[in-house]
Amino acid sequence: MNSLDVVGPQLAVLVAAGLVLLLDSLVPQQRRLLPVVALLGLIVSALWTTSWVGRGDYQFLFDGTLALDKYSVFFYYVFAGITATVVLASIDWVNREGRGQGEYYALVLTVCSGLMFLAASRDLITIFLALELSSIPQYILAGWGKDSKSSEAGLKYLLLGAIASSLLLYGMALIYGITGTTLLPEIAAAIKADGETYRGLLIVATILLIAGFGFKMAVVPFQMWVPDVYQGAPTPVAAFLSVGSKAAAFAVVIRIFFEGLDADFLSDDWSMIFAVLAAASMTLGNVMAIVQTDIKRMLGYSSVAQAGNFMIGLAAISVAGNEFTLGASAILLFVAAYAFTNLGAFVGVIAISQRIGSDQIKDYAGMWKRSPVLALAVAFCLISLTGIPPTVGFWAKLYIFNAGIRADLVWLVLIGVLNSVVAGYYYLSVARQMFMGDAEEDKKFRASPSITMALGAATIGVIVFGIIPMPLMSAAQDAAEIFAR
Amino acid sequence: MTLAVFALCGFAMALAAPFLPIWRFRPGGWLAAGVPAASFVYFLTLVPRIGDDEVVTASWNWIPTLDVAFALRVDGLALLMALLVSGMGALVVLYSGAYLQGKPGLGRFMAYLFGFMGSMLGLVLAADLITLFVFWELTSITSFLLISFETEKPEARKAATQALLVTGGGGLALLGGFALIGIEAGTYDIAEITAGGGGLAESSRYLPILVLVLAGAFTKSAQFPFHFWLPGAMAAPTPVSAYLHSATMVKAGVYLLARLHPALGDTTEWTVALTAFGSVTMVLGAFIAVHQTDLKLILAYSTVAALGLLVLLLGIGTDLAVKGAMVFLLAHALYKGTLFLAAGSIDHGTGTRELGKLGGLARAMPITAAALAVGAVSLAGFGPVLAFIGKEALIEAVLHFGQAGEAAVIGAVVTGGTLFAVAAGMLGRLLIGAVRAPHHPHESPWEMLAGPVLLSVLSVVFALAPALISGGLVAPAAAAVAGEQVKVKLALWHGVNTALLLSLLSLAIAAAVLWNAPRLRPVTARIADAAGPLRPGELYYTSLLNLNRVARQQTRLLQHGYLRLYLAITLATAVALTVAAIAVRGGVELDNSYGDIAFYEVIIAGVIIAGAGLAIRASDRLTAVVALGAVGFGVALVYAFFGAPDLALTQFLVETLTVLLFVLVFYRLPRLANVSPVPTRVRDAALSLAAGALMTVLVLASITQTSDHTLTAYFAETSKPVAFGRNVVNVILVDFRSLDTLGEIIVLAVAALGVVAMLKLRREDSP
Repeated sequence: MNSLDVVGPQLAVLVAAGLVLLLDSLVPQQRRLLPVVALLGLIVSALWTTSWVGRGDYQFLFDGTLALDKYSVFFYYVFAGITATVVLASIDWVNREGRGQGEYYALVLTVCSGLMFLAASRDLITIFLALELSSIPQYILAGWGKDSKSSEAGLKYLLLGAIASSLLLYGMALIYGITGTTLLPEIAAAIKADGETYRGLLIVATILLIAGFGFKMAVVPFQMWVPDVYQGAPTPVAAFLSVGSKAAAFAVVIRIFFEGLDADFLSDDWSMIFAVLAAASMTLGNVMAIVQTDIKRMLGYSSVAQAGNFMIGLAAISVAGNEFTLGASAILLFVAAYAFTNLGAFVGVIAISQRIGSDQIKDYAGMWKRSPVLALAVAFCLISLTGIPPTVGFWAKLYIFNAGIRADLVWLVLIGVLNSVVAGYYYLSVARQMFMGDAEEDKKFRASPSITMALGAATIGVIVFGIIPMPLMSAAQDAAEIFAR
Repeated sequence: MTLAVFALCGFAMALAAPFLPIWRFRPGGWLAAGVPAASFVYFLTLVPRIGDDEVVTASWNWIPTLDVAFALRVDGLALLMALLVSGMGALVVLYSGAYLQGKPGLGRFMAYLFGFMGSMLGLVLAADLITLFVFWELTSITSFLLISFETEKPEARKAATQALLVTGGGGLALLGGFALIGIEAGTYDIAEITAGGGGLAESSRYLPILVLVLAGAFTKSAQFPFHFWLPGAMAAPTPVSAYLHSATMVKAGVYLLARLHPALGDTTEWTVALTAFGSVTMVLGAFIAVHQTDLKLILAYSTVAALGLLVLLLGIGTDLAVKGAMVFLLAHALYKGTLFLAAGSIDHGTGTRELGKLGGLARAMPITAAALAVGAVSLAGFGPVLAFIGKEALIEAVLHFGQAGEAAVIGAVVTGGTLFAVAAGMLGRLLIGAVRAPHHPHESPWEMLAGPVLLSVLSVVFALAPALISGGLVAPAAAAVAGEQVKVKLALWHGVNTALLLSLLSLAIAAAVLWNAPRLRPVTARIADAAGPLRPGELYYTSLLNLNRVARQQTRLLQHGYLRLYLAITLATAVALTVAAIAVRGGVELDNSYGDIAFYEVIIAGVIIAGAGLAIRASDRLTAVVALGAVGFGVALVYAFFGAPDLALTQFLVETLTVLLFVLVFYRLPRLANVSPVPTRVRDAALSLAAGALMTVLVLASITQTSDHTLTAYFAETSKPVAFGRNVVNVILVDFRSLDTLGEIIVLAVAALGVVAMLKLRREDSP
């Protein structure tokens, strides 16, 4: 197998990005084919990934900087799926905006390739590069809308993102300074050899790394950009940010901590940091979500709270050490479940706001009478976000709590339980509005075909994996298994 | 397999119901009732097997990795509940078909009802905690849909939301409890957990487990201080109240406590919590019931009292108490079902449920009135009805309860008396006297009479011939709860004993209450008013309001929208965490032996510092950009002097490009107008200096403390033999790290794409 084969999934996506640009400038009258080309690229990428799974030939390439393992494969699928949903959900919006169509899809695809690189990187430099590859197009996309809110979103995201990136870079530089290498396994070896002497510096580096990635994960106190950006950015882009970069950040943090910084003398400190951030994110995110009247802002704060749930898994990893992959597999399951659920919710928001022209929760009143299938789909996603069966969100939450308790973090799980109750309050309030509110007008409507496809795929995932969660769980466990040794 | 089919057939009906064309015709309800009736018959056929200590199970692997199975298991307790759920289900479906005849959305209503029935059967038959939890939450959701069925009523919406929040929230707490149990016990299998007996009770996590499980059970079964949602849920159509909010769903909490009693019960914590909350709920429910005038609310509060009584019995947990609980569970379902269905029939026939507007129904609606009378006799707890046996068992159990027995006895007697007064008041007003009703009252159709009549007949038959149920139903159920065989011998008449005397005492109390009712009412009303703000229902609303208020303040404090403050907070957090880490983890070492400082180094440092200062002070953007450029060039010079000319070259190019780009962008922006006030600038300066100082210290520390291992040697050695290139930097860029270079090129291309797109878009916007 040659090296290009390994980056095939990313290349397929990048090539599709180039094709989209070319098509847009050479054959402008065929613009409606642009999303089709983008989707084809993603399908090719997924097929390429599948072809490896068939061969079962996992290895490290490019001097070990890229890993082709079950873990990367898991995330390749997740990111291809997320991006495909985002492309589908964007079609109406992009057509309505009418400008820069080729660029828009090209940027979305570039983000996807960056996220894929991020999940596979095993080297600090490659990680940073992949991060920038996924971030810079996102900054641009956040400011893509015509109104000033979107520009503000883009600017805020860029500036706060720049600070986060610089903190991250400081952290990476420190680690390189201490260990003399940027390759994760070599870092691990160096730390095992004489890392204890540099314990203080290593902790500082860890904090800087967490601060940098915390921005992408949107955990407290690095969550400040979230509501403004979610509200201001075009909704499909907000959907992308809420699942794509969050998932990638957790993917890379798990890898860094399992493969790079996994010395026993460090784990108490991380566990504490992660646990505190988890508790703060869940609590503050939920409390602030309660009072939101704009559904996009509400989903923004809720994504902060959800990041706290992910973090319970991280805290569990670091406590239990690396023979223990339950925390990692719990996060992976949560990633997949959250991708289905949150994308479903966002696509539902897109569908509704397209028709009623508002993102205010009060305008969702009586949606059940106006568009029953749409309301039902969104309600299922909200139930899944709360973590109530029979949805995939329930299993994810159960898994995360399970990992937390196994790692002796009962106090954290209890905070998580309390927070689930608070979260249920605001998620279900939206459901109540839709099912029991009085609609101001009774005009029935339906979502457009592309939106219906995206929403249908997400909701079916939420329900089917809610009833038969095993395939998803096995995939998550297989992927996490690579860290067991 | 058969078990699963009969247990879960409700879900199939739920999916099909909205599309079935049968609801428009009257026999549609009869047909539909056949489904739960078939389940009921199936469960009846299991009675002899379960009576012989068999269990019937069905199990499929669900989540093998978590050791979660989709498993159903019928033992005595499950069978008793399953019979109640399916039997009542058949009657309620039959009843609803007539009650809601001709209403739009009957198909939807039936779908919810069948969905609920499937969930409830799943809940009571579940052999696995997680399976149980899934069904538990499904009952909350279907109950929400059923309460909110008549959504045009605002109070229905409010009540539905309240019920969902309270029970749903409790459910999530329960999930936490189950997860803890699963890990402590090493399994989610309920039979194994309960067989493991003492294991959980001695574990160090017993208390959190108990608290979480109780939170789930108490919210579901409307125990004080969560009792307020149940009366609110009376906004649901009456057959729903009869089914969910009296006979089945509210018993789920009691069922769970009974189910886990062998594993969690008989500890001091268990006994104290259950008896205390149970007694308070019991007395409170009875007292509030006295003051109600709406027939359904009377029944709702008396249900609260009954649920409290059941929890109290489980808290006592002796064989006697467990036996009493099982008898009372059955008796309550029978008589409260009767009463609710009769109340619905009265509502249907007269158009009101207000006691004050009704009278003389014995003549106008004789069959309904007869059933109502039997139900009321049961509520009062006197007469040849099963509830009497249940009540005697309660008093018996309380009398033999050691700790705080006196208080419990007083509570039981007072409750009995009060409920007697409630029943007597209700009967007296409804049945006796001249016919009074808003509409001309008429008897209900047979579908609506079948339920109350059948249930009240059973109530009497079981009391007269208790052998029908004692061996086959009550004994296996009690055995499942107690975790050992329980001898059950039921009789209506035990002779004159203490229990009977106490019953008579409660009768006297009832008479006193009734006699003094007009004088007592203002007093109790005043007490209720004074306690108003402390009522849990009010507490629920004020706490919701407060939560909202805190949330609003919190949001204003943390998410003010000022970008500069966000930046400051991010930086401050990073600095504070880092400093804290250094302080806690033993500081850093600094080597202060530095080499001589050359004069050009001083000059470069001066240029950088001056550039930074100028950038801050500059009053227009162009100056600031140029000054920043100077900083960049200064850094590049540092590289050049310290042996990295290629790096310096790159830095020069990047700096030039950046300055050009900045100029391009800023050209379109207005002049800087606002300069922040002095305090803000002082704060920002302090923060910046802190961050800078910290980074300086870190850089120095990493020079001092780190290993000598670097990559230079490796690349210098390998670049010629491996990559055939003599320029190490070039080799690194295009060979060793070619992938990164590729990525970097793409990043730059994307940035360029962004710039082009922005320029293009802006041009299109402002032609």
